[in-house]
Amino acid sequence: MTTETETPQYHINCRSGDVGRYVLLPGDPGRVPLIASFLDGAEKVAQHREYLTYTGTLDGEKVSVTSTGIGCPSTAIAVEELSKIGADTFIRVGTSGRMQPYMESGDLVVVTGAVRDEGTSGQYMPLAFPAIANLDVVNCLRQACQEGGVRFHVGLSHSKDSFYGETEPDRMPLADELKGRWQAWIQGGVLCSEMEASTLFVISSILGKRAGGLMIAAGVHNPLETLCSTAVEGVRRLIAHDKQVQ
Amino acid sequence: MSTLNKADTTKGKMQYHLRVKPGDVGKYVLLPGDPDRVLRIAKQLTDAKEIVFHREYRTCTGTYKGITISATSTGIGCPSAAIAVEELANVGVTHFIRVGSTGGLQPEVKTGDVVINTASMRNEGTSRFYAKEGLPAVADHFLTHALIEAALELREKRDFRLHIGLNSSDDAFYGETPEFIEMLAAHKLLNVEMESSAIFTIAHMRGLKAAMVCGVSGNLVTSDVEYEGENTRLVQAWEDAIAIALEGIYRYEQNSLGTRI
Repeated sequence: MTTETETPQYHINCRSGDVGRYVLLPGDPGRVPLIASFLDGAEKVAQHREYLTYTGTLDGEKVSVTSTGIGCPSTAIAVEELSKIGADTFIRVGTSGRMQPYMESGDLVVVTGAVRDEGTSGQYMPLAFPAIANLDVVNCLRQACQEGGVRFHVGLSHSKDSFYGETEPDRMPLADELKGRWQAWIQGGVLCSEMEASTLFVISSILGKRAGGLMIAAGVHNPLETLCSTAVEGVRRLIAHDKQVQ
Repeated sequence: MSTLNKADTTKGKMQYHLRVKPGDVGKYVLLPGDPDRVLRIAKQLTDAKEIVFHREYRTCTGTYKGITISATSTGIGCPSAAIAVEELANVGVTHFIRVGSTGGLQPEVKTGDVVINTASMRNEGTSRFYAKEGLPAVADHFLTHALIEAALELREKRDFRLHIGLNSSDDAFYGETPEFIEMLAAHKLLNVEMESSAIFTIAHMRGLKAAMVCGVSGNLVTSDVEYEGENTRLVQAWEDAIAIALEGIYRYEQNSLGTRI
């Protein structure tokens, strides 16, 4: 009988050995090669549905990049299946909407926790459970931002299930409720809005894995290369940290 | 500083996620989850061309018996499916038929069977942004009727089992615990998948039409699942579902009661 890890995972089509402990998670498969270009010797290992995976190394440690597709349902599948084949540290890398007036287009956000405005994590845990990032991951991403000399913020993200429900609330019958909630997140100091982080954090907590996120506050100016290189630098620092702790 | 109105900035233009523009797609679109399945649909169309492939969204357009029909993958889950429906509607699509895979929730709904769903239980987070929870997610009656007629006709030639009824759409593939599956089955739902309730709800809210025909990938209450190797019964069910969707559109165009009311 074969064990679960020897056969490819149902959706991501990767098996044990295909990926490292550390996995960067963009939403867009098109961004996987860009992130992988900052790793050493990265090569494509699998592609199925919205899941494209590259694996390379950083300071001799195996690191992978897997796209999650848009939204928490497909992200949950990626995290579950990557965990089954040995991944234990996840860094979401992606674009987001800016929510605070003092932020500028292109600022980076190191995500410490996320508003669970979505249905996926609720299928795992009651809403009373917090969606929080791992402290070591947060620290390493923050150091990478500081060293890189980029404009950045550290704080909360808003994870939602509906892109157009947020951007075009006026045509929805629940317009007042949607706009009221949006204002509440802003007043609560939430920095950016995206569609995947909260589920990544909740599932990682349940599985005993580590997770974090580095987002770009999108606008006219979107330095994607800076986002990707800074995220990879954060992983490099995490690898060094983990070696020290050992 | 004024708030960006994405509707005004994108309607009738190149769409942000799908990268489709007016003229790229027909009035009818088939919506599989998997981008690879768009190519399977394209094989059943005449003169099908790939228009664009961006993120999880691959779009092909061709014809079937003279009718322009497109296929666009939605990716897994309601959040990305909602984006697909919104952006396709922005460039002129009025009829959506989800063709996909689904898990059986009743013992008689077996791998390789075909299911036409008339409505979905909204166990997901996306449609909550569009409508209060009491609003039902219902397929268009006339489009569904055309699918049923097409399915009955095809069944004369091909041997498959057909089920018609309700399904559940949920958000967490691996969060479907035995208790959750039992709860769904107790509601007499036939099958579970991850996109239809958002597709039905958004089509309804925009005054458009949606329906669904799926192939059964496995059964969750009898644990008859095939997650390894090629599931040949499911592949045949996809072929059947695609044929039913295309012939259903032809029948709908030929004799649409909906257009006469």
